[in-house]
Amino acid sequence: MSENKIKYIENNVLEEGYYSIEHKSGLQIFVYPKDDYASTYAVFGTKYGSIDTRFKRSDRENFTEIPAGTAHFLEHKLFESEELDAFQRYAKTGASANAYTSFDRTCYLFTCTGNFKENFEILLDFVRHPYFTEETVKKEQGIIGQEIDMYKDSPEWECLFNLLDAMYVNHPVKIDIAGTKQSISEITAEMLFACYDTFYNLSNMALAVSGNTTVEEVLGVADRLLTKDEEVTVERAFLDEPAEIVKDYVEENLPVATPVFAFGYKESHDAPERTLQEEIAMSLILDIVAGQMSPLYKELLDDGLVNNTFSTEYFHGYNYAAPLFSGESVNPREVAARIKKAIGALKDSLITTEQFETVRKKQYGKTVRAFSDVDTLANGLVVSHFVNEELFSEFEVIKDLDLDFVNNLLVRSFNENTAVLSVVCQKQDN
Amino acid sequence: MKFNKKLWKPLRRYGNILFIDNNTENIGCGKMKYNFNSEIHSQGVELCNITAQGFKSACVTISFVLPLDENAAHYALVPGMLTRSSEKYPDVTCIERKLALLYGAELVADITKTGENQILKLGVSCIDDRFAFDGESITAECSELLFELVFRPLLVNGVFAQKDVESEKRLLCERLAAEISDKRVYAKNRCEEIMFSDETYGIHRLGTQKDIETITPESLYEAYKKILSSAKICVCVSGKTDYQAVKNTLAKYLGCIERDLVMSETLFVERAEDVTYKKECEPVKQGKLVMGFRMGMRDADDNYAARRVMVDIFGGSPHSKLFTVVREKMSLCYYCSARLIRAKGVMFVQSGIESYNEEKATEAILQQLEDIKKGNFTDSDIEASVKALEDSFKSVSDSPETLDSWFMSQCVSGEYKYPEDFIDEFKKVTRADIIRAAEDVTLDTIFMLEGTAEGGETDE
Repeated sequence: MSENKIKYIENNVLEEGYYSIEHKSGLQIFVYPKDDYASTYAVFGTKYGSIDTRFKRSDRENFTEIPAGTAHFLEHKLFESEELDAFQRYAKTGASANAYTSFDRTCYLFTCTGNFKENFEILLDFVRHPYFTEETVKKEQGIIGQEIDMYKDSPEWECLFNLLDAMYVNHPVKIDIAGTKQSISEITAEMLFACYDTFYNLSNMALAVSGNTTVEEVLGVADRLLTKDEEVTVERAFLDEPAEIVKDYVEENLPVATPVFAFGYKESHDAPERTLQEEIAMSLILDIVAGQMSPLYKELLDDGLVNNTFSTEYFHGYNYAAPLFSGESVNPREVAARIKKAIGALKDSLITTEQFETVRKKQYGKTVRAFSDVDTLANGLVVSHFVNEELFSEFEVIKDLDLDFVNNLLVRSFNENTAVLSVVCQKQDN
Repeated sequence: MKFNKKLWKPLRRYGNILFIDNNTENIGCGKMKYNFNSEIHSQGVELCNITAQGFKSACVTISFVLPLDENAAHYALVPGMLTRSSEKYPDVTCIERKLALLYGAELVADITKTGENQILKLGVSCIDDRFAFDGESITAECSELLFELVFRPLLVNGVFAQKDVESEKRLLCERLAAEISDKRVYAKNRCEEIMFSDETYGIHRLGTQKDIETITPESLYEAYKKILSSAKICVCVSGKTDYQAVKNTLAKYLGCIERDLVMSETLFVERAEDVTYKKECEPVKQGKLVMGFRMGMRDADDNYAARRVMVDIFGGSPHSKLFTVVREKMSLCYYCSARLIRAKGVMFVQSGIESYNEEKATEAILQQLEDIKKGNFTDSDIEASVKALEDSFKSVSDSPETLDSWFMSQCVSGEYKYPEDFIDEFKKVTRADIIRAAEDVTLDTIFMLEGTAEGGETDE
């Protein structure tokens, strides 16, 4: 059997570091010790999210298609076993446990201030031992059906997915993470085992532990519990996505006091994923355009067009990217028009050195801060690994970013022909 | 970091409720070596200092404790007003620019209700000085900025600026309206309103829309002056900061204010006489059932530990009866959890259900409480709850912000306890204590929000 390969990666701004371990089982493990912390946070994730509905295994000929919502469904089911479910086991050792499914990953996590070893054993054990029958799958279809309903009562959630639905023709990012009642009704136990077998292969997963722990403690358990999987790689296979949008406006009626809106620009790129440079540069641009110190924000606030819920975000993942502006407004169309105008003006005048240095300083502070949360750290390590980035590289990128790069990105982004506005508002009585 | 919390889909139905817990007592301290000190600065003014090594951030906060009364809307408007402009930084752009230059320092303005007190909290949190590019003191500038905003507001003809007041009124009204749109919050608020219709506690922490509409620049300035003169004030400095400098600055600002402290005492109603029931309909898909209980407490410390452990077994965590029986086994609720409001001696059970299950769910929830009274729970249930509480209380020492919240949540009484003090009490709780705590509970109010929208797909 081969040995674990351990590397220590240090950051000189923070004066701390983490261990990156190529585990002999084929799993990538990260340990970020912070021995002055009371809590320990562990997350075990697979690069398998709601968008992975069409894929090809390295050992198969054909592409497999699965119903929307399968990743999320599988996440729910993994907590069960023949005997005690994972929650009942964690209750005995005193951890707070959860899991989540996003567009591009599924993660199982817990946080505790004691009994780390026992909790960690539970995590590795239940994620590695799937158990489901046709009967338990049936029961879960009802439960998740309810969950889908509940999200339909959430104006922000609806607003975002309506926006994505109007923006994307084929990309599965447009479908609710939990799927639809129809799609989840097609899920079978056999299908879940097949997906598990494909995506929960250790070579497709990552494990990160941060906080009050040591490498020895983590590896002590991992060496004992993790056995090598037959290596399988998975190829994501998406249908082609045209550059054009489906429609530029979408509206839904829900009982909300102030209309909720999301406004964004669909982007098309050759490479499926955005680099860290692009990601950070775009966040800076969004902060300059519509952040709280922007003239636009003050104008919208003074004119009664937005409130404190107004925010920006660079929404992106595998084969999708869109800068978004969202919030509540009595007049979303006017907000969208003013955003377009402000972007147009900035494209003409370009970002000044002074503006750039101010937001860069702010971004640096935010990055430093992010490194005090054990949950942000552990999740950050897993996510960075899935996109082949190194956790600390953000510091270098912020330091080396130059204004020309940012201005270039500004000028070529925000194509008005691909802008979409989504609104959720109260039904107008005629 | 490539990490976006907003788009997480949490696994379990209790998720959002269990972890978003504003309960003042829900956090605690671990092994991070920190020191807490408090001193009386002047009449009704306390100054607290939390020092620790190694934190990446620091924060300074100032809290104003006010009796919850008909001025709630006026008081609630003040934090927004103060963080929007000041003499030195006349508009939001100037303030935000200053914060950005302080390496993205964050300004917090918070309005909460603890018992029958309204608490306004303003604060700045920033990265530690060792991360500054040019050796400047970020923390010193941040505390200066905070005091500048709080004590030197922008005035036009001796009162707040009309335009800003109108804008803040709109923002506060929209915040209130958002609580109506969020049906989970709405149902909880309605249950409180009905349950406390004859008590001060029934007043919403943000006041009412009607009250907000009556606010003028003059009346708001009067309210601001009243806050400075009559509220109990707590300043808390956490992280590596120059405490003495903060103390001096505070003395400078407070020196010229004539103080006349007003404190209120929270009414504790030990038992409910009978059950009030109220139902409303809304075109939403999921129904919301909220039940309000009286805990039998005479004050916030009255047998608190036993009651807290009992509530945890009943509906506090994934191993609780509400979760394992009502949700998992009976599949009656999408989410179902119980929360103890220590400062008022009451408990709320919140659940999301199919509206046709209302009767079954109500019955099942009450049955779980009966089961605890009968002693139908195991020693490992007690152990699990004590462990879970210990876990959440301990983790508070991991950041200056959580330490600040922990200690400042106790600023009404000013009797500052450490998380360990509570953990020790939880460990002493016996089976008999838990049964007694459950026996003290009486159901006061049920509020049902019936969903009348179709449950199926809405995609056309």
